[in-house]
Amino acid sequence: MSTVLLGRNRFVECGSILAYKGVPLLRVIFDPLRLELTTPDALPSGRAVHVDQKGKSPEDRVRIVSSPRSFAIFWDEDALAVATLFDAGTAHLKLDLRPLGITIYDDADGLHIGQNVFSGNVVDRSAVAISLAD
Amino acid sequence: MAAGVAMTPRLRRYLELERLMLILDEEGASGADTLRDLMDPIWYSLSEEERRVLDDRTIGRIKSMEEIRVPAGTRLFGPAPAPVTHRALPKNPISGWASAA
Repeated sequence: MSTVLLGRNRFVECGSILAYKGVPLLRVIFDPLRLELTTPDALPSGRAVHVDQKGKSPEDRVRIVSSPRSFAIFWDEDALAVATLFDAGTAHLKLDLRPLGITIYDDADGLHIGQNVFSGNVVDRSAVAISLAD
Repeated sequence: MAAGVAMTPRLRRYLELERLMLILDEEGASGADTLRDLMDPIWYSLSEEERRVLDDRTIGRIKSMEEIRVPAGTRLFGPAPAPVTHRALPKNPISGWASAA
């Protein structure tokens, strides 16, 4: 059973943590641990990021740092997402997409999405844990 | 549904309420019994064939929950933050810092 801890929320066996207009934005994959991040292409900041099994883009600004128990995605020197494996089925995720101009990040209060803060939620076996739409 | 029963609006409504009731029941929430009682009029309004098909089902454990839906308002996406300006370390000892603080 895979569990992702993010901003004091718990996501159990979810296909993706975040999706925008039905398209997966952030996925945590286990065994081996890795992240997939796919932002919308038409961001006001112009900083669209794609990280998946095929590779990463933009190649010159996105950096992947991985080890058997961690996986991190950086935009230049800013950490966008850092996953750390607690045990074989539980990963802790730190997320901050503000360097891309996306107001999604976590802190001690919870997971911030725009003006909303989510804390203490458990989402169990949902294809998409948090769905963003207009 | 299987067994050749048409999905009538009334049957769909019953199944939607039943799903909510099973989720509440799975979570141990007290509202499950209340909702079950409220579903009785819809249950008895179903045809005998519909009730027979529903009675013959095997229902697995309901573990799924609805996703969290968040409106992606205009404040979700914005411009990129301004670049951080790197300031050089002073070469000479800092004087007067205590009075400035």
